[in-house]
Amino acid sequence: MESWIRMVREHIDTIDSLLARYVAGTLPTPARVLVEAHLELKPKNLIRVRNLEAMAGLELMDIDPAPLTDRDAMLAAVFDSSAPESVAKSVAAAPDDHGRVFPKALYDFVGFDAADVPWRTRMPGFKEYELGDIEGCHVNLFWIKPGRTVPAHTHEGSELSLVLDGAFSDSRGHYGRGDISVADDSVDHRPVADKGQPCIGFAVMDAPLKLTGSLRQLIGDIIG
Amino acid sequence: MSNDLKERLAGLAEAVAVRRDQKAFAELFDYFAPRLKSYLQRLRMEPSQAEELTQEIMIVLWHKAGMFDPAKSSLATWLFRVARNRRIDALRRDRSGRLDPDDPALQPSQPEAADDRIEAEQRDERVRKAMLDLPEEQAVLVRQAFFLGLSHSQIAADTGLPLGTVKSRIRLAFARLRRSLEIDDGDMTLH
Repeated sequence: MESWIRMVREHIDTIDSLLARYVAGTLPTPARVLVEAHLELKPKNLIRVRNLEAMAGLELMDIDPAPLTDRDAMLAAVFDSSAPESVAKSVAAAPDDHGRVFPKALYDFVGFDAADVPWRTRMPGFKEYELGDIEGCHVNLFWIKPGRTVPAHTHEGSELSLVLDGAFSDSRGHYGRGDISVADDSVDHRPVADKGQPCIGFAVMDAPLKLTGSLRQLIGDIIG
Repeated sequence: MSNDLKERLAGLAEAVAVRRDQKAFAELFDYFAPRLKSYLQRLRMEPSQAEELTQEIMIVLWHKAGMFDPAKSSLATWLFRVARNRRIDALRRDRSGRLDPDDPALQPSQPEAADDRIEAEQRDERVRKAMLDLPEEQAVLVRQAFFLGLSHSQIAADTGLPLGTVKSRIRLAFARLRRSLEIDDGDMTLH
């Protein structure tokens, strides 16, 4: 029980740190997309983001100013500048987002919705679509058959998973649409998809997974 | 930050937006440009690069001051968001000077319910108080997380503190911030 409470606390703590780095703008692109998609699905967490941004504004006012090399020239250049143009977004390609499973941030990043993912079967009941390595992150979408257990694995570095559809549970809790699960190398978790519907998620990892557990457990998972 | 200063800066931004007031802009420039440069240098940008980006942010302020809505945030917070988003763009891709129309900092202001407005006006005060209530040893670390965006291990390397200490202090700090800010949110809905 004790350790379960600690895990939950750890989990919340990590989400705070993730949001803090999102606010600071130092997350790699895939992790930023994951947080943006999360905020679309859980708009209540926007309050935390706004609070951190307000703090950052206060910090900006408190910081020791750094003198400019040539203040007058820079000011003149600003007055001489033309208005920055906006990027023309290709709205034509994007269908109406009504009824889409993927939040807009994720849709824009991967270019399709849940129904059009070119899945590859990894093992019975478990499919993935690899987006490859982006800014030092390994990025994929995953699909778990209802009731299926994914083999035990630990992580080198950390893994962020955003649930997009369905839900899964592991030793630390239950994650539904919009929830982020954070696993680091201290966590050995075996996600189990809820019965009833497949679980689809977006995962951002630091490094490739390594399989753990006894051979028997693994085979049990695979045959599952 | 005093409310007088905050209101003064917002008034200057309005003068820039409505009248293209160069004098008002120069005052904003003298206040913010050296602070933005300092902030960007703390993010380990070279001084010349930091100045270049500062100029870009000031160009956004000069042309898009009308997008700033004092009911939603302070001008400092708005500029922080512009700076952050411009920096991400600069790291990621071309330096074409184009703006992303989806950039939340540049969204046209929408009418807000009266409650939202109160929320926005009081937010700065509440978060400042919450930060002041943190023990300094926690405040320093949490600032490095949300302002400079450092990871736990970077903070540990920078400060020389053990990673476990960094993690536990930051955890305590965020729990405390959440408690004071979210209790206040709850209180506000009663009024």
